[in-house]
Amino acid sequence: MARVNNWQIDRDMSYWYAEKRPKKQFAAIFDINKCIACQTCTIACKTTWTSGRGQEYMLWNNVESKPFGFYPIAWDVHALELLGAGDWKDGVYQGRTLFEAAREGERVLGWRPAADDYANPNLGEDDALDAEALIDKGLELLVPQAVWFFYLARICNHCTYPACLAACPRGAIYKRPEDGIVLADQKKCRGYRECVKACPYKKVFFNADAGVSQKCIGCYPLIEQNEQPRCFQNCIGKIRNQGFLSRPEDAREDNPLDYLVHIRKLALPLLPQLGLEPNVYYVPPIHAPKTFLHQMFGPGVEHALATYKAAAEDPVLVALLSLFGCTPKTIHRFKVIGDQVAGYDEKGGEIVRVPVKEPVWVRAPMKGDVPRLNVT
Amino acid sequence: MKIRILWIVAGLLIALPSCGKGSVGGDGPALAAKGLTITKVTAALPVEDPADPAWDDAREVVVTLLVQDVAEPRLTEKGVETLRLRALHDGVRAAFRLDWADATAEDLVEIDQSTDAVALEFPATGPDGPVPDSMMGEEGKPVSIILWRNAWQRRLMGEAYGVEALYPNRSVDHYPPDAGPTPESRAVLKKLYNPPVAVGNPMAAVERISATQDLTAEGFGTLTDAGKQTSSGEGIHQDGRWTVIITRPLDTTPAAAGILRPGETTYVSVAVWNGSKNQSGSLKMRSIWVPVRFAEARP
Ligand code: SF4
Ligand code: SF4
Repeated sequence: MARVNNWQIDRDMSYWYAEKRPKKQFAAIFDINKCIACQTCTIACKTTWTSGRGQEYMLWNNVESKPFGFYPIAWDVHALELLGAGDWKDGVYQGRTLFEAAREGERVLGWRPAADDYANPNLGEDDALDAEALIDKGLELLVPQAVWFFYLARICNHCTYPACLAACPRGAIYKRPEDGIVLADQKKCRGYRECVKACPYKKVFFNADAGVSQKCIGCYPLIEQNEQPRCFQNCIGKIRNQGFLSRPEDAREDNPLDYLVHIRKLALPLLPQLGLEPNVYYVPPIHAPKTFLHQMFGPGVEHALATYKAAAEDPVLVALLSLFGCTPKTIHRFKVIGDQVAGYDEKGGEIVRVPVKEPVWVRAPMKGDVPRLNVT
Repeated sequence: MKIRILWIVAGLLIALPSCGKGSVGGDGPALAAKGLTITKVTAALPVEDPADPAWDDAREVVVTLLVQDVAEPRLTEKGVETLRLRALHDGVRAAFRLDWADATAEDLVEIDQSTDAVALEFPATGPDGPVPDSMMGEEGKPVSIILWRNAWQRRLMGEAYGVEALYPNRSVDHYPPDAGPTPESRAVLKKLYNPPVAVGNPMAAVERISATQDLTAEGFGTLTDAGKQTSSGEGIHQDGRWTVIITRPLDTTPAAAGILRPGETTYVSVAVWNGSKNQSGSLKMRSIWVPVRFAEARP
């Protein structure tokens, strides 16, 4: 075991391999508040990558309704239960990570799902406990809601410290030095499924037909052309933005990912306490209980929620959030120019420019004596 | 008195192989107490029938199995503790008969299921070379491995495998590779939609030519296809036991890479995986080196 630094838990930790960060780190931000669970992302991925035999059950991208939806069943409940509770003190995680809590003879504290666990990809979809009985009483109008759920879109986190990679006894999983994308070598894999057991997010899948494990490839052929992955390009809710994230000390104000993750601390990692330094960041949902969100996204939740609620008054934040989903290209830099915001590629070429506030026309409800029936 | 004689014989058996391996001395490899003799048969090599009386001519070695407790993930729960091993040759091929207790036969691999399997391992360092570590060899000291998997035997016998076997009643609207208008285009699409097949991963090979795979290794995590498949194997599961016969050509030409040469001594070790315990990869029971020598046919 080596000692490495994990900035998400603000301390050094044990990991199977020494710290070796890629030249650039693939990262993404999902604004949970905007997701409508249309599953367009899921289908975009499914039709692109997993339509073969042995891949029927695979959803490299899935969207689950929290708190009752899971894919596979109870993936996060199992991980949290195995690990046990751990405190945070001044932003420093005091508990053990999955690497530090590994059982004797193993590299990661993991669990092996049963094949059936994948059979209900969104159990309890759109389900809030006793919702119907309570909605009449106006409880849905409270924020945070007494009765709540939210949609959690998930892909592989292309972790800085991947558990899948650490657990593979063959070194068949590797992290690309050029962009930090984590891949399962389809030639080297012998189907031991240690990665499936180790990944707490359960984002490596076993293909029973091919006899090897397969996972989200971050649409690297698109990344190599400076394009965002399929599930990003097709997102109806425009909740997603893919880019590259720096270490906190190297954060650049004009990098959309750095700005939202490091500078404004609006987007948070999923279950940072597990210790993998996952690279998909979430803007937490404003209507869910803070205790639940704290467990899911760590101690930055309060600050992120307050920042998000005030975002409309913040010209840079509102501008940057307007850029989400506006271009298939990967935005490396952004700039607010008057009432517009522009995105640039790695070489500084402009790739997109949009108004910060879309023009809005409010039409009169009546035209003479005739009421308008359509709202568009 | 009888006991004492037996011990002397056992001591001789341990000493014998060291004549063939230059570096085996006081710091030589840890050995199983009794050696394996590959006895020549005068009739046909009994490669198919484990009950063939010819096997009676082969002396049985009871190999002690230990948990693989060196490389992560380590096996923490003890599996089958002994394996009975016999070997014969006909001057052209060697046949090994391995049998061990396993209450159930597993032949499918899923997220939560594994196949039964067994492997033979030999030093691949040449007759005068150093003896590699019995656990997968070492850098610069390769081993040759023959792996038999019940899942491969099932496929070789033409039975359904993968999702066809696991989920025969599944309903799928459309598999894109099946949409090719001609058999040729379907073959191309089948590869295109199956990356491990496209890159030539033997685990994913659509057509299996053997229930075994010939492999090499130079330490844990380095197991690699040997590039040439010469072994074959067939197993029978009966009365709570597996009996698997693995055959492989003898190395009779003077090529340096030989591992089984009549007249020369070498070593063998075995590994066993129990599918019902979800063992695969390094989660296995394994043995240390067992000395191997060749013997002429019994008169
Ligand atoms: S999310 Fe899972 S599969 Fe993806 S890199 Fe992290 S550990 Fe590996
Ligand atoms: S496409 Fe976008 S909005 Fe629709 S479910 Fe996926 S992440 Fe949510």
